[in-house]
Amino acid sequence: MKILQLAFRNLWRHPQRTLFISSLVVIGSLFITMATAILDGATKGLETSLVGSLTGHLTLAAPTEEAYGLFGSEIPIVSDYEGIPAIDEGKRIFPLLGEIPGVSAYTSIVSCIASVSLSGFTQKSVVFGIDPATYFSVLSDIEILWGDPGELNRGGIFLNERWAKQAETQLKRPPAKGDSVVAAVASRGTFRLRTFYVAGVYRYKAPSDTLDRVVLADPTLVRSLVNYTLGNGSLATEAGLDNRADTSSGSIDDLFAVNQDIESSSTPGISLQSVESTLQDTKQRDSLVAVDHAAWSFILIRKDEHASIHKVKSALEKVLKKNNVQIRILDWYTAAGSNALMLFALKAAFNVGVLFLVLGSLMMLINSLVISVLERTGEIGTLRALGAKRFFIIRLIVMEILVMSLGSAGIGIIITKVLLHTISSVGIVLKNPLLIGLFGGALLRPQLELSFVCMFFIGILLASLVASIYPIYLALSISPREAIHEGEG
Amino acid sequence: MRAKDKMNYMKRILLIGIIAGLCSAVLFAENAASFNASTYKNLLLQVDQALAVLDTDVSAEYLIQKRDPGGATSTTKSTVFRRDAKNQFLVLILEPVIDKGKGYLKIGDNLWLYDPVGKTFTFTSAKERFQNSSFRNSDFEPSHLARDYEPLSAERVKLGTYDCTLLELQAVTKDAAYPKMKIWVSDDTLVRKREEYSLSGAIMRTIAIPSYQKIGNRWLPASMVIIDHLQSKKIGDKVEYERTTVTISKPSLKALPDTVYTKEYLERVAR
Repeated sequence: MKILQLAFRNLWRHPQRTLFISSLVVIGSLFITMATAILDGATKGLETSLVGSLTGHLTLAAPTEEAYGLFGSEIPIVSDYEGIPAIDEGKRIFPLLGEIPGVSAYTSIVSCIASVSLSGFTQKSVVFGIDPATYFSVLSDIEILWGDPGELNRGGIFLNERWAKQAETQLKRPPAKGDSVVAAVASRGTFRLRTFYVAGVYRYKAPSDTLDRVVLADPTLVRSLVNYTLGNGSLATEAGLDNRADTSSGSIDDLFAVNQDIESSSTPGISLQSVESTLQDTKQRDSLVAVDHAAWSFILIRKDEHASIHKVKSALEKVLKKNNVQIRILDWYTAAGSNALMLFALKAAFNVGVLFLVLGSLMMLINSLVISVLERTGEIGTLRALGAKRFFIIRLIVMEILVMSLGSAGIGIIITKVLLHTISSVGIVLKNPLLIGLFGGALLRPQLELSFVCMFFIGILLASLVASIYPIYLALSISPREAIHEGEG
Repeated sequence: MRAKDKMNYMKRILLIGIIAGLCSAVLFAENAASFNASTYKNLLLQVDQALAVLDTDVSAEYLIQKRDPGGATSTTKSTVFRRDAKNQFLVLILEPVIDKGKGYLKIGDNLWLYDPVGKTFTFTSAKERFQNSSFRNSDFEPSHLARDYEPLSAERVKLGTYDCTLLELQAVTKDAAYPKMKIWVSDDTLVRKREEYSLSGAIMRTIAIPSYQKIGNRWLPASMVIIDHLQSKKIGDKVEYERTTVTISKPSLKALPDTVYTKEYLERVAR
């Protein structure tokens, strides 16, 4: 108690310096806690909007070298759409998922990016072919506004509310049940078109630019669109690859070395009848385009409310490994793609910034304590001469620094709490679509977690202890005789 | 005395200036006379007329072979029916088998795609790549050079065995596939080579038409080689471009029924 009194008295003896350092610690704490609260709020918002609406807690995908999420490859594609490979072992995986503790539900989807047209309205959209029996139980944040989800197995398509509103603005009428919707995919030198009919409209709990592009559709038609067909294995057949192609690579002007013009009047031309008869035989094509009904792009898993995501993931890994199933397990943020990953990158950059801030503050704190010790050389020497032990001096200096740093950090946190209470009641309204997508909604509610506050105080405590090492060393190296002599001089 | 010298000097400079001005005016007038835009506009009309078939339909088989830079090759075989008088064409894919029956139907300014598996039509732009090759949907259309372009310059050049007029063209309509173009027209008014440029002057495609085929008194390309300068890859020290070879065979000028150029026909024939 005496030590505490002495520490307070020493700090009070130099009010300007104490106030200056305390203000720095308060401002630093305010900055760090506010920024963390905003980023945590954004992560929570994004997690809430994506886990319950798009990805589930964990997502299973086919093992490939290239990284891709629910929306396809994360590498920007300039000209051609690369499809998502299908999970081959779906039939083996589904029974295993039921055995894993902590898994409450799962569903599977087929995903592709297509140009989706409704009458005159066309938009590049993410088309999910879903199993309506399980999809809405895994993604419970999806609200059906109208329509029977069962029709998603009969050629139906469910538009999301914002997609439907955009179409309505252009068409001057809302999309109606039974309207034809054409989805077109251009990939690997060919195109595929499929017709769906409007079966309903749904809404996401936390809409965002990412989610606005999604429509839900009949999985069989989406499989056919994305070419999950029995002929898909035969690449050569699909893209028409063969060895008839011209392989010459000379200069184009060499082609004019001789006159090659020809008279064609003698050769028989093509006739309409011959073309029609060639097109009549479609057996081979029909066998190649037959849909592989077992093919899925992703399996989405929802965990029990109280189960730990890490435990579920590790149990899943064990079971899949034991059964020799080759599959990729994606966290929700990897499955959601660049938007979620961008937020994590932002957090990482912020943490690096905080590290530099902490190092700077630490240097300043050490410097100020060193000055404080040097100013009190006589006093410390006298205390030592009066019989004060080394441990007493150590305790005195450590107490001073702890009182100042923890006290200031506490004030910083209290100010943050007050500010956050005011902000959270109304929320931060975002208008920029990029930020809305990044933070998972138009209303951002920053939140300061108790765990972070505890971690923050522990960090400050450790930093203060580190900062006190050099001043303690200086204080202990002062000999009572020199100090008294210096005081007399 | 000094002032008089200065005056003479000034007069001399003025005289030289006038002579130089007159010379350049004469030269400019000569240049202007050597490039007569209307003459070359006429040449463009002749080029269009040489390839247009306005009194009947054109049918032919197109074999489109694409070689990716340093990569795979692929082939598409299709049948093309064309009616230039009404700006209509119908393309039916015969190979690869998986695409059999897919069709492209152009009626006026509308280009429809048809997928027989989904029994579905959709609308697309004529400027799109045909089956992802360097051949564009617009390349099935008849030549409209005189309508879409105006000549900027002309010169006589040699292209292999052919004596050609090299014309530099600039688009004047928004229907033009490319904003700028260079064409090599041989003396028989056939386009032998074409270089297509973007607005900024970057080369987009080079098309060589080394052989034509004559049916009656009409000309049709027999083979074309297209280099796509936007699809390239560095292989070793050399830059390779996507190269598409188009071989047009079995041409016919037999008149076809009007129903051929309809969505109903496409649906019926391509099941």
